[in-house]
Amino acid sequence: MNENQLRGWRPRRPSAGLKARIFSGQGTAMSPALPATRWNWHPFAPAMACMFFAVMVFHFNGGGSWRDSRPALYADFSSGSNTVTFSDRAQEVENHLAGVTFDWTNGSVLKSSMRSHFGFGPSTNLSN
Amino acid sequence: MKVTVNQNLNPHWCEAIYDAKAAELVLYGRALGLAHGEAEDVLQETFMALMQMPFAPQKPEHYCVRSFRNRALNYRRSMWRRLTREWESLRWFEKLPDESPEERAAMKVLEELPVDQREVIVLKVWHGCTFEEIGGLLDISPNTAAGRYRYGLQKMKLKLEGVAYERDERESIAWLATAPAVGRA
Repeated sequence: MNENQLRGWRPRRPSAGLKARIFSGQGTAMSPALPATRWNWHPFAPAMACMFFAVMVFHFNGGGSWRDSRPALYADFSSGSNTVTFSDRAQEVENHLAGVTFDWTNGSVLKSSMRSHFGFGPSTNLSN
Repeated sequence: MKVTVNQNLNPHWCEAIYDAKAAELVLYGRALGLAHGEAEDVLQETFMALMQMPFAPQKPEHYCVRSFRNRALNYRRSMWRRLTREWESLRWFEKLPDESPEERAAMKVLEELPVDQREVIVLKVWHGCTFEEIGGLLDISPNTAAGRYRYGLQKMKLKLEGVAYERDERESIAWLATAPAVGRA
């Protein structure tokens, strides 16, 4: 196996249409031969990104006004964690502390025989 | 093959380079690990970029090979392309009218060499580059380039000897199978 033997092998030619594709536009100008029908979306990319972000932030609620809606997306850059949190509106009530009442700690329905040493019944109602 | 074009008078100097180097560049793309179609895509990208240049570079051929190499290395990084490339079965070389099985085996062996060795072999044999030029292109010393070339050719030779040995073995086994039994002879 020597160099002369290898030189006898002819590399496979590119397809015939390739040259036409490359040099088809050179008769008029030295511009690349891009397909004429190709739509260029690049200029719209920032606008589309803004629109996507706006849709994410203003979470429309059953066709209501956007003024009534609250952000569904929270970005926390203050703690150094740089996290973005999505809130699920369906679970909002359960996750809101003010809406939770610990009934078992309510003095009026307390079944325990133990009394408070401080003179008032345990009432951990966080609804206020 | 050296291309001689009056670059500044002829605005279509790219076309002359294309005619002279397209097949060799596709082969170089194959040596760098691209499928045939991918090598064509990179070739197209390279020439599109060349045609955007207001003036021809000083060494258009070298510029072309370097530009092709950079694009090919970027191109082959895609994982999806890497997977689809596994299905590629097109030959690197045109089918010769009097191609022997040994030659076909040698082509196969070249395809299976490590990329850095087959790259140097392709640049040396089909692009006509010197070891200095190859070293400059790949950012290695000319001695390293020469070493890769020698190792590559040596490996091809050894593998071909192995192929020939296996073939001889098979042929002798087949001959033994067809030979008459000792008792009857």
